[in-house]
Formats: sequence, structure tokens, C-alpha cells
Amino acid sequence: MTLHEFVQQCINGLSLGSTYALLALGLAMLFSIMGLINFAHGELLTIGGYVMWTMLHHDVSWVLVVPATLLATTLAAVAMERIAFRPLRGASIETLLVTSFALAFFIQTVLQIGVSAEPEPIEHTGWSDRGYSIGPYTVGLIQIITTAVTIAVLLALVLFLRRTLLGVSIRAAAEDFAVVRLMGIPAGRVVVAAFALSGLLAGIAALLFFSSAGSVSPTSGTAPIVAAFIAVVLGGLGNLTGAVVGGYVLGFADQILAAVHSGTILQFHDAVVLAILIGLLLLRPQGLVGRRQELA
Amino acid sequence: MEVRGLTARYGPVVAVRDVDLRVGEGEIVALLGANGAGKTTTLMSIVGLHRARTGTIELDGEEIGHLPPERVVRRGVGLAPEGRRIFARLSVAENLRLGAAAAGRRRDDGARRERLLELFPVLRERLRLPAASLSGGEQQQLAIARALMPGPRLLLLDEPTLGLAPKLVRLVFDLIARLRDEEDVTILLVEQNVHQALECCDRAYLMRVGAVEAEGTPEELRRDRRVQAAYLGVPS
Repeated sequence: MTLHEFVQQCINGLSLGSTYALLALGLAMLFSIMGLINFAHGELLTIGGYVMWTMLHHDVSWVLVVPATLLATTLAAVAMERIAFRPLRGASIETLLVTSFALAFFIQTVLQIGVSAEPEPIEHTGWSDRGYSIGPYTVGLIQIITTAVTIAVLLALVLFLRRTLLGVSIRAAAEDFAVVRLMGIPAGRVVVAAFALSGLLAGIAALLFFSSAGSVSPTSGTAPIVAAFIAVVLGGLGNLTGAVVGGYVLGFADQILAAVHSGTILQFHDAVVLAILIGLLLLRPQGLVGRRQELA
Repeated sequence: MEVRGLTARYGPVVAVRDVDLRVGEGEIVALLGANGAGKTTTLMSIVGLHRARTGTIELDGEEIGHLPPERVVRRGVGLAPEGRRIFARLSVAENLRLGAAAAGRRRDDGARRERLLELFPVLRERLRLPAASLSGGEQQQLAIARALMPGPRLLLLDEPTLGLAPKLVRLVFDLIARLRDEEDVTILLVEQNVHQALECCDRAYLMRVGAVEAEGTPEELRRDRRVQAAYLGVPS
């Protein structure tokens, strides 16, 4: 692979990396605050996909599809907290993990029975196939949009976490939840805010993901959430910067390996990606961005 | 504040048994005793962080024992917890900002912070730095300042001098006296440093294996044989 091809594949990986980064960010935030690895996070992506499918199928304008999708995933995330996780506050990490699996299967089953097990087409928008030549490289409009949106979202998130009282409370809760309550800040509000934020991020990821994926099925969220989880581990569990870096690294690696692999080895694509992950974690068990002492 | 018949458990283990405590307006009351005597559990029960307990806890005649910690704090009780537990990755300013949250939407947060930075000048120089970069004594000052931000009427201090150099221990005790005299804060102080605690407090309780063993003014306690034997190095 030449340098030119390498860079081109990285550009192609921007969309995928952005989706992983946004999902990983939501996962990492919930993990850092409440020790929850929310595997049902992928179903938020799926729910976003179904909202897009329903509305686009009925020729609703994108101007409405975007806010409706974000609202739906945010509310779904808040509902998850309310119904499934609030009764388990303070439960062990294993209990929370198993609950999140149950929730994921529940939502998948409801969608299979209620809608269909078959993939439903989400029409490509005209603009998502457009591309531009920048020097020797081709950059798709979808890559430009996803990257720009992701950067804007990350900046907004950083501002929120640094400037607002709720944002600072979320960061503090990741360090010491009990003492946040001693500051007079209701525990419930911080947790709901974190869930809502993770839902919003999943909604943005859904908009970016499904506008190029072409279809949505009840299990659409599974592969991206496994990837996002890998990104979180890769970046250093619970580390927000790490989650974003991990998301992009994984997006690029996915794309590059898909381009390099040909013929029979293509079947082992996922295995190769995971082998590389294991190798990286052997070298840096604290993750790419995590510091050693944060392991404790 | 008045605590009556407080009993607290960790599973089957009774950590605090039938404790009565009273802290009057403007007093400094010390809660003394060795490790494991139940002092911290008593404080945690008062602020609502330790739920497995019975008995009543009243603030100004109102029962607060059933309230969650965030509401106890909003009623005007501040706690600087054992081990300081500042938010290490947040800046000093952010720690103080969170401290002010209990006061709700008030306009005088800025003035309050100014006043506290006068009391704790070392924090002013470090406002933008992560709290983790402070020394132990500075972190303790931050923990106390953070608890004072909402202007509590009752301040609970859990082992504020633990692990500090003698010079800093004196600084903390001076601060405690100034808080009462200049800020009108009522203080319940948990300490193992019996000598110095008795010098600055108005009254003290002595706890042993979960129960109050003795109480009184510093003079009374200094004369008490049990206290002399256990804490003041006087043979009984």
C-alpha cells in the first residue's frame, strides 16, 4: 500500500471513525460515572435508524428528521435509565452489564416483532454520494459532513463539560459520586443528564451512520456498539479523550485492513482487527490515552 | 443540631450504638476517639450518606434523618470528609464552584468566594490548577473552603489534620477557631489529635467502640481518668 492509498483510506475511514467516536464517547461517559458498560447503547443507534426510516419513508423533510431523531434517541436513553437502570443504582458492574444485555435483546425483539426482522431501506440522500477532489485525494461530501459535525459536537461537549454547572458535576461524578451529592447536587439529575447526553450523541451517530449505511434492521446497532466498546477499551476505559481517539483509530484500521485484505483473508477481517487490539493492549494495558495510575 | 439514639450498622456489624450528641449554635464541639470508634460513621449518618441507621437527627428542631445527602446539605450542613476527597482532576475554581451548588441560584457566590479566598489565600494563587497538584495541607484547605462555599450553619470536619505536618496542623486549628469567631459557623470536629482538639473546642464527646464514653468541657475531660489513661498519657 502506498502512502497515497493509506491517506485515501484514512479519509474514507473518517465517517466510520466519527460514528465509533460518538458512540464510544457516550459509553465512556456512563462508564466513568456509574461503572455501567451499556451494551443497549447500540439499540439507541438502531432506534434512531428506525425513526429516520419511518420519517423518510413518508417523505418528511430532513429539517424535521434531524431534530426528531435526536429527540427520540435522547428520550429513549432517559427511559432506559428510568426503567432499567435506576432501580439498580449502586449494583455491581456485572449486574449492570447483564441488565444492559437484556435491555438490548428486549429492544431488538420488540423491533423484530413490531416492525420486521428484515432490513428496511433508508434512501440515500442525493448529497451523500457526492465527492470532491482535493489534490490527489477524493473526499466524499458525507466524510466532510460527518467529520465537521463530529468536531463541532466534541467542541460543544467540551464547552458543556467545562463551563456549565451540570457539566462540571458530571466530570466530578466520574471521580467521586458520593461527594457530588455532598455538594447539594441531586444524584439523579447528574445520572439522567449523562444518559440524555449519551442518547444525544447516539442520535447524532445514527444520523451520520444511516445516511450512508442504506438500511436499518433490528440488529443494526450490534456491530457498531462492539466496535465502540473496543474503541473505549483501546482509548483507556472511562477516558473521554481516549474514547474519541480510539474511535478514529479503529475507524481507520477497519478501512485500511478492508482495503489491504483480499480474497480469503477478508473473511477474517474482524479477527485481524481484534488481534491488533489485543496486541495494542498488551503493549499499553492502560489504553492509548489513559495514564498508568488511572488503572487503579 | 441534636442527635438522639443513633445506631448505625454495616451489615450485621454495629458501628455506632445509641449515640446522643448535641451541638449548640456557635459552638465548636469535638468528637474524639481512636480509629474505628465510629466517629466517621456518625458524621456520615448525619449527612445521610450512611443509610443503615436508626435514631433521630434534628437540625433546628426539624428532623433531617430521612433526607438524602443533597437535601441535608441544602439545609445548611457542610461536610469536609475524611481523606479530603477533593475532585483531583478538576481545577481549584471548579471544586469551589461545585461547593457553591448547594446554595442554589444565588447572586453572591462571587462575594462568598472572595471572602473564602481571603481566609485561604493559598487557594487564590492556584485557582486554575488541577486540585491534584496541591499539597496535602492545601488540599485540606480546599476541602474546607469547598464545604464553606454555600455558607453552611453547621460545618462537619472529619479528621482535618490527618497526615499533615505539625505546622499545618496548627494552621488548621487556627482556621477552625477563626471560622467560629469571624464566620459564625458552628463546628462539629472529628479528631484523633486529642490535645489540640481539646484546646480549641467548647465541648467534646469521647467515643469508644461505637458508643459515647464521656462528654463535657475540655477541663472536665482533662480531669476524667478514662481520658487521661487513654489519650493524654497519664497513668491511671
